Amino acid sequence: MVRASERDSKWSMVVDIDRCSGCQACVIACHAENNIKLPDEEMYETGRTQNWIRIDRYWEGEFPDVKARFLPVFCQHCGNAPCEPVCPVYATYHSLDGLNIQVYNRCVGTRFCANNDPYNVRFFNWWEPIWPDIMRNYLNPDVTVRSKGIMEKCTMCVHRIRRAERTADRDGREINDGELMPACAQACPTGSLVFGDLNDDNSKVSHMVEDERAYRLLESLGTGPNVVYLKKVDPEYKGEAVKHHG
Amino acid sequence: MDVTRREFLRMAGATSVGAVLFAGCAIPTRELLVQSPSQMPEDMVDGFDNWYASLWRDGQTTEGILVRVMEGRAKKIEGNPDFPTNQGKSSVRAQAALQSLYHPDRIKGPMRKQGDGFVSVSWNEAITEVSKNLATVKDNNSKALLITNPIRGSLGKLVNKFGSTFGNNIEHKVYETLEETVTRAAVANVFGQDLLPTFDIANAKTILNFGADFLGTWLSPVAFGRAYGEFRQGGHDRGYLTHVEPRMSMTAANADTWLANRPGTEGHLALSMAYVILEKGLAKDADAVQRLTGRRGSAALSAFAPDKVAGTTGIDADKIEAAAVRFATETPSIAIGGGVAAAQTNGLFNLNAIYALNYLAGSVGEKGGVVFNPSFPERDKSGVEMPSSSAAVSYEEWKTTTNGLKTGEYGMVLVHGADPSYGLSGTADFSGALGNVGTVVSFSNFLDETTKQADWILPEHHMLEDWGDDIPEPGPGYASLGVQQPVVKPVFDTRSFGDVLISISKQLNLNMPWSTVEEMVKDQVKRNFDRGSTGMIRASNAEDFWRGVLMRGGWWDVRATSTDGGHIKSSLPTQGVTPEFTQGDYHLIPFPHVALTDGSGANLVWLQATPDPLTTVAWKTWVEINPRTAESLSVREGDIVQLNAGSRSIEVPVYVHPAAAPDVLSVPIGQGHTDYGQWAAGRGENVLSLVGDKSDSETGALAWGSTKVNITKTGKRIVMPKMEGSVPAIETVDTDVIQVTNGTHETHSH
Amino acid sequence: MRALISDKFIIVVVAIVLVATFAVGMGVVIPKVLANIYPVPEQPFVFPHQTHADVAALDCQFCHRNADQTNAATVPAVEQCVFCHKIITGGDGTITAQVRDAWDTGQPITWARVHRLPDTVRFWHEPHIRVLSDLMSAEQGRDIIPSEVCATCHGDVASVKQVEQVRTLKMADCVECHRAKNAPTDCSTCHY
Repeated sequence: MVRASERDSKWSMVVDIDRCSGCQACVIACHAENNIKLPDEEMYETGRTQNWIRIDRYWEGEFPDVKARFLPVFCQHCGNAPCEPVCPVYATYHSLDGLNIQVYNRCVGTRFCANNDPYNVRFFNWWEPIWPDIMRNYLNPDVTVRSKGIMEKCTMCVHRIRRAERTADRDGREINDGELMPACAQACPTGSLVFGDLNDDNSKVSHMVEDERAYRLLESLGTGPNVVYLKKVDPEYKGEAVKHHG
Repeated sequence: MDVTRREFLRMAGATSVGAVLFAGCAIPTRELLVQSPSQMPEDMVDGFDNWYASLWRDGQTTEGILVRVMEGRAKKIEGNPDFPTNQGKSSVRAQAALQSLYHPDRIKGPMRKQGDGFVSVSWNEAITEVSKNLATVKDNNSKALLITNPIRGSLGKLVNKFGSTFGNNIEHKVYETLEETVTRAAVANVFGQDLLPTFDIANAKTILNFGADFLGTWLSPVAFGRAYGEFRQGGHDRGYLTHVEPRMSMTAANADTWLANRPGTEGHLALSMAYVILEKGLAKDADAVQRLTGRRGSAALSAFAPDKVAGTTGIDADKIEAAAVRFATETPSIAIGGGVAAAQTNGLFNLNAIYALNYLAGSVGEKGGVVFNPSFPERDKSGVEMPSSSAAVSYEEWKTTTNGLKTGEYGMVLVHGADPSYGLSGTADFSGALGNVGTVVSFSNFLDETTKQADWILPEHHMLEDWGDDIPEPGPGYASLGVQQPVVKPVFDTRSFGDVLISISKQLNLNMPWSTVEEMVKDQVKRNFDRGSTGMIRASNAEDFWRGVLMRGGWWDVRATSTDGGHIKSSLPTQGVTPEFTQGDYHLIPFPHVALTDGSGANLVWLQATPDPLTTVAWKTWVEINPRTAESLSVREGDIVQLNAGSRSIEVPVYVHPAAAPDVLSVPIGQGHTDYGQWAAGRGENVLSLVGDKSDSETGALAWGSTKVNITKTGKRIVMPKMEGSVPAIETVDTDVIQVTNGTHETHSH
Repeated sequence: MRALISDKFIIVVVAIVLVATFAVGMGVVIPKVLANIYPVPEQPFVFPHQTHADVAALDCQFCHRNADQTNAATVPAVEQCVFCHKIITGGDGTITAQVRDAWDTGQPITWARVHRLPDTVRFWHEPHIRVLSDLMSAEQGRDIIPSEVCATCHGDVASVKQVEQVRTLKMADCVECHRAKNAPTDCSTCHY
């Protein structure tokens, strides 16, 4: 296989959960960028939402000594992705620039990948995506509209990556660190989401992954996530707390 | 026959039985109409995305935005990295402005009421008739009432000029559903400022916050959010946030210490902390201390010693002391107050006490403290000053006004950018009073509750179709002016509100010095060039300067800071003011929804679908109940309960909330619209209708935190539409998904 | 009594009937499908590429001016046509009159699209023109202008009155060329 670009990039995201305020700007920015089906009430009632990036909220303790913690979760673009080998039609694979790619036109909707995905970041299209005619004006022409019956998930805004690569190729220059961001990272008010090229030693993400707070989600599963998290700092943290997921 | 996988796929494709059927992005015929227009602007090229700088405005909040435009359509909104307040970041609400531009329920042209509905009319007819009505009001020596949202900049100037030229027969009143009247009064009292100050959160080391949900909805959450990120991990010592609020808001959830106080006791807590600081001799500004305490020092506040207020406030004395010591020693520090702390009958007492703390920590006018904003210095060629601030009229004054509407004092009401029929739905029955007014004119482009009652609708442009400018408030700490330019052609037959006001003035033969809002904006910008105040834009002539301003999204000058050091108008209150509440078993705390805010966002799908950060509920109104309280009431999630405040009641589903105080019920504001488009109408409940008739004793601001309610079960249940539980928890036995460190050593065990 | 017709026989007959029906059905359907793969769309009026590209010898990019800049080659606005046709009437003048009508009324001409790729494909003109020109330039040892490579996919439009699709532009068509020229074949080059 020949790389999608001549560049030797490894795109990655670093999530600093100490900055995250849980404001949901990333969630809606993602909807706006990626032509995600209008998120109606039924999707929330049935638990079949299409939030490619979501903010999980975990509770610790009981009132009044209670803490809420926020964790933005999206496709971890694993180096050893459990979703990839189970696809019977090779609709999902790992690109050489570090992305877990979903090829919509190969997908036949077996949902094996979602079944095998420990992060629950793959979504099946249970409904045909429909917009009122006038709303189709804002659809992003760079992103395929996924039909009912196939899987979709965070692409790390691969369309933005390809556009940036082609524009830089045309102009005969390098892609500057920070020039290119997925929609979520661009919106994020607190700057918790930082995107960049891990193969570029001078990029911001390359420095951030060296931080002593760095860890990867469910690292023990051996999935080799390409997304790195920086631990929440809590000066009051005692280490022992009742935890339940909400 | 042995069908291979490849052949299977091919056959599936050829006979169209495969799962993959793609709905196209665009309707081909329409796509072509756009693809081969008769005239092609120089910068419009198929497949090229153009990014235009403009402004997004919603009530109090202003964000500088960049709009991605392709083939003449707006595709995406991003923050403008150059813009001084939000600096490239954007909120859920700014993102969703695309949906209000391309919305199936937008009003498509001017209309007149006929029977129960509306019929289309021409702009000419609409403007002529509205002008005639205004002339009649003047002839009869009656009054017209112009209600707007907070408007500053050129539009504010235009409205002021219109009012002064028309004469005494028109009143302009600013309406905000969740008014900042008390905050403004406290800022004027404590700092002697007319403009809201900037809190330099990014450079602060300690923040002591009372009730102001600055990460969620308060004033300018994106600008504060950006600063908060720096406060946490900006390369200096990590900041420490102490938050005092009876409810766990987003800001409370992100605090290092959250103190859940008894509602309305924030002022007592602040004075108690002041006492600790004075008693321990930690105060930074001796002169200010003398003035604040009437030269009596800590003795003036001895009634507020921590152990004396612990009972009434519900906060342990040692926690009060710890927060006070940290605030005074780990500087720079900021004390902020607002939100529910201000929405009490003793709201101004609370905020006066809170903001005065800033003097004790020496953070007034300092980096990492409270930074003042300069007022915009310009008057334009006509000598009219451009308002840098737009204060809303208080609840008590609205009650008087509503009474005036009932008694026929006003012959005409004109509404722009506000929906008081929704907001004033409690005891001040605005909607009922509006029925007594002869002529009601709305400039809204959505059929909200107020517009539904209008006789004439003159729909205004969407902000992406319109000219304008704005002085962000709170500003960035230096002079700034954001400029809004149209980035797409108007989708419908709408007009700029300002231009319509100018047209009406012409019909009335009023002498207005401008002919369009565009001209006003351009004139204002060019005047900056003329007096040599070019800020960050280099240009050799005024026309280049204007283009530069449009490209950058505005004008600002980091050197033009406030010269006012702040001065105390009043001393610290030494007598506590006790909050008053209505009758009921539980405190009711209504809170602005993170996306719908005061209800103005309820017409957009993305905002309705934004999960509440703490409960993860979307598309609904809910009531947050403490787990033990829920147990004692034997209700669980999804049970519908009735909340009663006197004769008024709403029915909402229960969300069992681990961080809810046992005697506090919290309900989000924003739903319960009877109109306002297909996604808002008939959905959820309007909690504002429960809010009792109480106001701040000094400013008259609505005390929306002063209501108490009773709760009864209805026996009905629903499935709660929410994010949590829609996917199984990603947790394993041996690894924490969220890993936490206390910053000193690793406490996490693998 | 033995059954006159065995169960096995019924199954075989039913199977034959089904297969025959299917075969006949497909025999009818398939030729139709093939015939409809590249229909020449009906245009509002004939645009004579030959006249423009051959007789007038205009460079492709005189009209499709953004082909070497971005994804779309861009169909020109009526404005672009009128640039010449306010003076040049051409032929019997009826066509150019239609163009000027469109300009006067501000109504765009609704050209029908000839080359349409599926919605899952993100095709960019710019890299194709750049790479193909570079390759041709190396082969022929001279500078190649962008217009010289258009024919690779679009055929010799200067020789036809009306443009039609000359290659299948199916995925195999793309991938074969990509492989031959060592261009990327990563799925996410085109599909995202």
